[in-house]
Amino acid sequence: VSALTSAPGRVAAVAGVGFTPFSRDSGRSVLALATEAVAGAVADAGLRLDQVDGMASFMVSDDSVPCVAVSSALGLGQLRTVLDVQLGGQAPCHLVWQAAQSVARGDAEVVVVYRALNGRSGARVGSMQFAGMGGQYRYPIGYGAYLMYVGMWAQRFLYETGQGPDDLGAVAVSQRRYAQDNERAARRQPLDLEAYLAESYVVEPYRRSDCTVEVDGACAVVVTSLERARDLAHPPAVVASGCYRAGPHPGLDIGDHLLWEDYTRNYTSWLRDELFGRAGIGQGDVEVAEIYDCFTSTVLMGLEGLGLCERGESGAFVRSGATALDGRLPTNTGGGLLAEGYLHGMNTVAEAVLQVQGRGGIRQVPRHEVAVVTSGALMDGSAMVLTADR
Amino acid sequence: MVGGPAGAPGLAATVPGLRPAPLSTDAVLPVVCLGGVRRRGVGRPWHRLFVRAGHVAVSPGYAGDLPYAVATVELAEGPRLLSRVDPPATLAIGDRVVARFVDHPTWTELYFAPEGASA
Repeated sequence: VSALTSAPGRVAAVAGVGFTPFSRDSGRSVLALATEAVAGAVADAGLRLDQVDGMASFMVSDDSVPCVAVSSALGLGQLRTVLDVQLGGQAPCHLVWQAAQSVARGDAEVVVVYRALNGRSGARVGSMQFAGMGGQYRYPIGYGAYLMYVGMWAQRFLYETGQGPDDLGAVAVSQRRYAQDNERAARRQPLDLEAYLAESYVVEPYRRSDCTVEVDGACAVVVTSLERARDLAHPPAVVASGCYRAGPHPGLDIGDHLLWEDYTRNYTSWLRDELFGRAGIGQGDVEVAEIYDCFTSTVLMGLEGLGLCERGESGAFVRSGATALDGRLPTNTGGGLLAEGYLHGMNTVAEAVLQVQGRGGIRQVPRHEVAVVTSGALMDGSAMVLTADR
Repeated sequence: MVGGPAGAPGLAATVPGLRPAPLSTDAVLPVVCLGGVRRRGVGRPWHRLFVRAGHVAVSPGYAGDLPYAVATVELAEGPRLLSRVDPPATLAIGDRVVARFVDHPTWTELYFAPEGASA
């Protein structure tokens, strides 16, 4: 793997990760959560807080705190680059890639990317009404929750690709198995297909276990130059490639999908060639996959969209055991957003980092030199390839 | 048909330059997507599912309408729109539906019914 073959400047790497506990009611401010995760990530990397000179974060409907607030609370020095965006799950890979580009250009040396929210005890994305012009067509008819939008896509995706409840259920079961070995996970009770199918629908085709579990918490990762990362606490996770993509007609807002042409292909189909091309790898080189999973169907769409399995065969792929720890392509190895908790994909990135660094503990994937991560569910999103230093 | 909060705004667009195309009530339309159907659990009302599972509150203002269906409807002329479909139980992706209109005190609602369903 030759990293950053098409980008000038230095190669960047993720050097550390930080978490707060994930809970139903943190009893703390979002700022307190953010500072804990950021400070934890910096310490994990073996860096000092005064070495941080860049930050990036994202929020949905102002549910978090901006970078300057965290910088102030932690008493950081000067920030040489900052990026606060109003995005949801599309953001994590996008922001880590932007951080890597800042480091590559020399704009900053140590950039921390974080997501913090009281997503369970505070404003909950699952029942949030999103700003934007599309709402006037949705809210008056009761089409007003995020799981409905993704569910609408899933119905069409399953119909066109000939897949169904057993395929969605396989994703939930596979990821719950990992969550049993993850002390951070919010849902750790065992789940088999029979128990899954016995759950009643919330919104077809989704049962409870098809849906992410909202939590309070924060997560952060530290991006720095590969050269610097080599001298730090853990093996570097090289940021080999990153990519954001909004497909044609991405809509008036996050819930507006009316002009999208093909509901069986989300943003992952649109970015995969650039993503893998820039990293200089093919799908067959991927050893770990962390696919954005606010709902089970987005895992299937991501596996197919990235070309990690054939179109229409993602369900069979998961049912075959391919995504398990001893499978061909271990996927969502921390239990994912479905079981670990809804940190909007920041924890999805962190899990990929831990796996590439070889710090996955009892759920460590045996072959872990190349990981792909995605962020986002529908019209737009981002993705990243992380590799071992080799 | 929509129950929901009193005074719900109409479906007619208020975005400048965007107005829905006129529809005749006897237009025959194929449904391309069907989603958002919410069911009461067997012997377990949805409201109770919300409490027990701690799940997201799904448009609580429309709880009185449960179960209902929302579809992405593709008009014969090509454009797609979102709409309630009623009755929801027998409808599948690809079925043909017809437009219906209901006058509410402050707005007129467009919804779709399976072709052949009694008005």
